Amino acid sequence: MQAISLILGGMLAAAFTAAALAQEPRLVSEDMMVPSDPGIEVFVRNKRPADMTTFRPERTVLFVHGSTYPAHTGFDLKLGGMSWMDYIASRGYDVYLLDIRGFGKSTRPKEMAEKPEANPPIARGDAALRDIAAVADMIRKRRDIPRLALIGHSWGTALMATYAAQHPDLVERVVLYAPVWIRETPSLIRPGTPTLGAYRTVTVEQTRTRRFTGIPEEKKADIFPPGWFEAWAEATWATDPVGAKMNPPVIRAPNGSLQDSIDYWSAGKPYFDPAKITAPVLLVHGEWDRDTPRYMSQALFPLLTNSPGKRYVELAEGTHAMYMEKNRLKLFEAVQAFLDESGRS
Amino acid sequence: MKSVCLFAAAVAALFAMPAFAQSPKVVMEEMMVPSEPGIEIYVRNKRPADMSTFRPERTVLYVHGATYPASTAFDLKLGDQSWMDYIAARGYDVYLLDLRGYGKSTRPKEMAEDAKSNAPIVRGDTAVKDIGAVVDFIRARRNIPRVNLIGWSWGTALMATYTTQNANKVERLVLYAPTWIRTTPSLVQAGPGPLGAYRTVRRDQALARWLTGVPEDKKAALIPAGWFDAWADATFATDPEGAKGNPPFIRAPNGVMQDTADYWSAGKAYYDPAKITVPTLLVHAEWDRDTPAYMAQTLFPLLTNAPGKRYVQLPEGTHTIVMEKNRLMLFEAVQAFLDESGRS
Repeated sequence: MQAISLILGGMLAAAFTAAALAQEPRLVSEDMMVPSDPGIEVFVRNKRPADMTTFRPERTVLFVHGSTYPAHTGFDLKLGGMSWMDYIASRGYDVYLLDIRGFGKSTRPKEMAEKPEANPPIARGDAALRDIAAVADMIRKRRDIPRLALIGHSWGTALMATYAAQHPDLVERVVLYAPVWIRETPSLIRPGTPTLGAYRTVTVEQTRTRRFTGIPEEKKADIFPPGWFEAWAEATWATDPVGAKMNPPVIRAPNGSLQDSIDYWSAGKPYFDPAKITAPVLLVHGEWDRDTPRYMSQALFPLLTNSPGKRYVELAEGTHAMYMEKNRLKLFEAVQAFLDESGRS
Repeated sequence: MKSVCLFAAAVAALFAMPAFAQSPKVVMEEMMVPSEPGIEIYVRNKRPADMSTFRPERTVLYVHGATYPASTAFDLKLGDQSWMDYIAARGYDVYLLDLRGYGKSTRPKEMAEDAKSNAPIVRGDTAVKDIGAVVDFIRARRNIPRVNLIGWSWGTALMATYTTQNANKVERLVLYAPTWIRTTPSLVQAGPGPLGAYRTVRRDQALARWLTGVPEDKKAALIPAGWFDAWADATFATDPEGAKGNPPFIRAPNGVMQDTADYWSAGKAYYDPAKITVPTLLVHAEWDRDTPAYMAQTLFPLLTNAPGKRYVQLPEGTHTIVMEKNRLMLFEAVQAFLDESGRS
């Protein structure tokens, strides 16, 4: 009798706790600096369920940002109490983000202390890829796993796709959010100087203008829930202590990605060979994206000829920065469904 | 002691429910629904046996494309489960219909004559009437204001057109392999000369069309063993006249061909996408050469008033991915979209 009560009681408790936990597990956050090239340290953040003890390739994700803003103020910006990073981690994932050198909390190359025109563009794709590789290696070693899933945003899609093409055995899945491909229309990003310098500076107002490009007039008012853009801008502009002292405040962004764009995407040349990617790839973007318009995804998707289970999803009422707009959950859900497929069967 | 027994029941219920949710017993009903005078539409319904409440967001009606009836694709058991079963098993009241001239619905009298004796039958406006009759039938039968609609190929133009005209009767719209303005030749061929009332299609023609666009090295694994024959056996059995032929054939009304010539191939839209005000999903597979990717990609931005619209392109599949190795990817994409309607 007592035994029955114990067993039943125990099972019930376990069943209900598991269900409740799956909703809102407690997350832990860790920040670290990972060595890349000599003198370069890359900022990495990790979030995961506090009780996570086993680590698997299909439940490990690394995120990298685009050409202007760092990762941690976007991917891990709490809006409505939850960041995208939280969203993924709370579903049982070991989640990482990194700031490429010259961005956010990573080492600023010495050229950024000089005038932009004093040096050529810094942090080009090959340098960024070394940062990504250093972090991916660190994670694989730390968790003793052979592969991990990658998420890239904008320029970060070219980086993650290139990494996946170069290291097919180290990549579980690839999520390309707002993928870049051969450019047939002008870029929204301004180089800042007549000839491309080492870096450019960006004000909040310039960003606000870029953020609203492509949205129908009558839809502009409610694209950002109150306070969301400001929360992101405040966190993002705070990452550049030098820029913060300027009036108006700026952030400095390395111009390597712009030089790559000129030499590759805008010159009609692919930066990576999509046929070399052998992991499942998701292409996902919002319908109002004018930074990486839909024709880029539409051209890229058929070229992923060796990506099993690839998928292309276009979402309603969202821009290039959909991950901090009113419809961000649609993006999170589409990406999550794709990541979760890897754990099945 | 008694309370322990109650607990035990609770435990049993807890563990039984997830298992049940996987594969509840699904019941099937078939019926003929009157459309215009003399025309009866074949309708099939599947739903969980224990379903007792009916809601718009858990009700689905499916219609087929230009050539083959609904039941032999949407409700063809492959690996023990049809797409219809898959949706019904997830708590849906699911319907399919054969338009007049197709499958088990009334064959207009022109189909008993030589095809050349009459103009194309079952054009879009006629087909939309059949759909309207069935939607109204379901709404009355379940006392619900709206239903979800799924169309395949030509059926996407019909379901979309119906939605532009009856926005208040539609919950969500799923367009599987959507058709739009055509800038490449159609794979559906009616033969030489002017369009007759209907055309005939043989099994070998069906297979050749199915595999168009598939890379050579991928053709062998695309359709699991026995699946094409299962579909073809069921489909070609729906036409008693064609079954007598040597080789056997099925007859398919040519109204859709006339509409395609007058609209899609003439650069004219058959309906106005801006008039669709319900959430709409466009979904197709990458090797679709009947309704190539450019059609969905042109249509998607024109759905300016469809809240929560979505476009999904799937890998390694054709126009007929519903009966190919990657069919589950189609089912999952559509299901996720339908299920959204039930959330809060």
